[in-house]
Amino acid sequence: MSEEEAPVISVKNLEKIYTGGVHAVKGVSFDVFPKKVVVIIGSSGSGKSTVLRCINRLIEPTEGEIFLEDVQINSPSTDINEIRSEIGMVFQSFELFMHLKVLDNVTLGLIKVRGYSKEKAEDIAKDVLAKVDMSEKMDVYPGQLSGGQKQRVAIARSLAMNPKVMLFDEPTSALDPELIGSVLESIKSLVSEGMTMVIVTHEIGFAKEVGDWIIYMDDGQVVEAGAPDIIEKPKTERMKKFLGQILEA
Amino acid sequence: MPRGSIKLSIYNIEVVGILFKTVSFRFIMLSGKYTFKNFHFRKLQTVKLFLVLLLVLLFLTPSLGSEEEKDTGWDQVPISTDNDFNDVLALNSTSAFVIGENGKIYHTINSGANWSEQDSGVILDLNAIEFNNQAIVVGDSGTVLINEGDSWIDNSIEGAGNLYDLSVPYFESLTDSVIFVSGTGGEIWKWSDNSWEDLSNFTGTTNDIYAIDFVNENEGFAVGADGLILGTIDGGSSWEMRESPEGFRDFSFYDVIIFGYQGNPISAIIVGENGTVIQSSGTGPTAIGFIWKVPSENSHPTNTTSTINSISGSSRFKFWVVGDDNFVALTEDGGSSFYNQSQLQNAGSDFTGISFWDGASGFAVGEEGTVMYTDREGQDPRVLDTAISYDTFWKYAKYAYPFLKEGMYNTLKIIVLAIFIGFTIGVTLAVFKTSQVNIRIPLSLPKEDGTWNYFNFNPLKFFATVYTDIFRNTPLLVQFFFIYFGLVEIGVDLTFESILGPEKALERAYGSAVVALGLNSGAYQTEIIRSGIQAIPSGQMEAGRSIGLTYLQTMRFVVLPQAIRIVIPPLGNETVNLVLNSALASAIGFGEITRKGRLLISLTFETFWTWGLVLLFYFVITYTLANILKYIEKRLKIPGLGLGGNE
Repeated sequence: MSEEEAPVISVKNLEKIYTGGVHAVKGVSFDVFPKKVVVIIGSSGSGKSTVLRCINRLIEPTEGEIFLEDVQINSPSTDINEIRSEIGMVFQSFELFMHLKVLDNVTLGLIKVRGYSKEKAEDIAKDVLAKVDMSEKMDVYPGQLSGGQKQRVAIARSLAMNPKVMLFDEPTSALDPELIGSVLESIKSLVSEGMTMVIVTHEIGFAKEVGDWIIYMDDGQVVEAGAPDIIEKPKTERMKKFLGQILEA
Repeated sequence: MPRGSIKLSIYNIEVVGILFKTVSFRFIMLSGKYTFKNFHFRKLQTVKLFLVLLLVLLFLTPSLGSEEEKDTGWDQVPISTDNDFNDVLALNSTSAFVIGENGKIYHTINSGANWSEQDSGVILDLNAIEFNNQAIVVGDSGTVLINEGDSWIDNSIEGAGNLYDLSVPYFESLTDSVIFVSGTGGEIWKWSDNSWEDLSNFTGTTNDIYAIDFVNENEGFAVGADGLILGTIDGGSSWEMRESPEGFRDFSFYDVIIFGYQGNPISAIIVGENGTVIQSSGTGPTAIGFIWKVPSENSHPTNTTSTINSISGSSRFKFWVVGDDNFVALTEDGGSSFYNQSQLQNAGSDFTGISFWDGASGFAVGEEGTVMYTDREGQDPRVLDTAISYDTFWKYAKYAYPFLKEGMYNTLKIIVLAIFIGFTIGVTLAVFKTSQVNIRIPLSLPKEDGTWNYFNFNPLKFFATVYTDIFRNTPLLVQFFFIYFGLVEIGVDLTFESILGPEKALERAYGSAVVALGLNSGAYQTEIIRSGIQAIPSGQMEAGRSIGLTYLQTMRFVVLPQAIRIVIPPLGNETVNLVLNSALASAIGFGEITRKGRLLISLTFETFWTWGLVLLFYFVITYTLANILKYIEKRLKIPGLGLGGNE
């Protein structure tokens, strides 16, 4: 990618060694440019989720540098809570706050982190819930929603904070096949609005459709990276083998 | 036939069975296992309602009067006169002088069976009488009378006002004696060298001085209106105003007594309005009289708001006080606690004076010819010597009920605070225990590759672990003893006087019981809430952090609300345990239900009924509490959270 603009997220030589010695990420570097979607694919245990979690420091990087625009995320002097509120994250298992109604799930961050009034927060929350088509379920508890609905609320919760970039950690892996569609639709509509994203996924077709830049990771390293057509014509044996396994399944 | 319906038919017959089965059923519910699905809930509701009503009734019913049965061991020995009496002087165990309005002086030599009137030579009101070799009386308009056989010699003070009290530190003969008198408008006069000397100018007050007492010729105190306390150490040549304790400055003081040893003051007691008893103690010539305070853990040991008028005793520990509205009370521990000996059969009368010859026999006098005599410390002989026997349960229950009601109130007083303290500690330490704070302590020098061998130390977790380990691995009874008997020795103030002020300070046994139960329950609640926190998926913390909440914010707004909801059943069990454990507070002397039960048994020897009733009272408390918690659990229930699943 030859962009003139400065990247929103810039990962440089990221290394992660877990306590216990597992070397999960071995020198990964990539940039995420404004309004672009980076998709990370790879088999389980390849370190892609670790990379994603290092970006908002849910996992502490061992070496390397990560920047959000010009702020180094993994510098001790950075206020990580402020940075996190600028980076939305959507989890594989939704992680909605079970004791709060849908609307309160979305407003919690706005009220406690952004310091908005309840009214203002609820206005914003209603807007984003409308975007993911969840307006009707505002007053129910997450326990009463289906998986797909939960994930859309989770997307709304991140989106409400008006983040500079959104991270998706296998957003459809925990869903029944018939529910995946609605979540992918919601993500696509964000793409069309120009949201910057990093998506970790197993949905190869979806990756090809929304991705501006595909990264294939294996064994903690970036094996191949490029425009979406690398999925059609993988250069390396490892990626070929991986895609083969996915298509068989 | 399903098993449940067989059980139900048994319940229909056996009321006791219902109670018993219901409570066990309730506890099974609390432990989270929902069985007995086919139980008839309407029947359950009826039983529940019945028990709650029982609790309400227990609180609302008026105290059934054990009061009219009270005989406090005082005998009425009235004098046939309408005159009010103002003071009494016991000359030995059977003889006494009584003085009062209109110059009346009466004398008895047979414990008040017969009274003879003596000629005082005045018709003015006589206010006080003292004895030192001779009986001496003071009264209105400067009246001073000295006893001489059956007659009274006038030694009145020219120009003096009404005299309220006197003290005779030295008397050989009238010409060789020292007498102090005090009176209206700040007057104090001293009789020495055969003449009266006016010391009023040295007192620096115009308040009425109602009482004066000297322990020797030099050292004495005078007390009076509006919290006045004066002290002298030079025979009245100079007087120094002493500060009344806070909260007592608006009250008038009516009597003062100094207890001494070989002419040195050891302790002084002042009594007055609003049931006031304050004390100053110490040794050495000037040590007492500077700091006055209530001589008790209890802020109001006399337990009355009546004005106390007079004090008399055999030692600084054992003395009696009398006052308005029939108030008579004995203390045997220097004023720390009082046994009420009030005379109900004589309701409406005020007592003005009391005088004991020794620790057993004495006289008390009051309005309209009231005189009482005791030769048994004023104690009810039935209480002291014999057990009260009851032929039916209901008679016994009537007698026992006020005791147990008070005990129940005291138990509730402990557990409400202890639950609150325990929960606060529980939440705090559970957060400590699950915290991620790590201090890296190097174990050795860096290895060759530059990495360190270190040990992760979490001080918060360490503290919480030590706390819970100590409290869960030692007997609660010993914890009670340690806190009640041990901590006081190193100066820990369990009355919380420094926080609550002397007015609201707690009884020390109460403070200790609350602290002991609260700390102990806190340890158990810590473990329960910790398990709740750990049962919440770590993703919840990550999700909270990912939207920018801090660790503590996520804890407070996301993790704890869910964790506490799922541990309400075990927390309910713990609070029930706490109620049951509160019985141990009886071991440190706090008057909760169990202690009241032991007291009842010492009075009645009815062990079966007493302990049976005590059990019933505990059951009512725990059962109600369990239901309240059940209700809370139901109210806080959220679909999809905890054991219930989607509903």
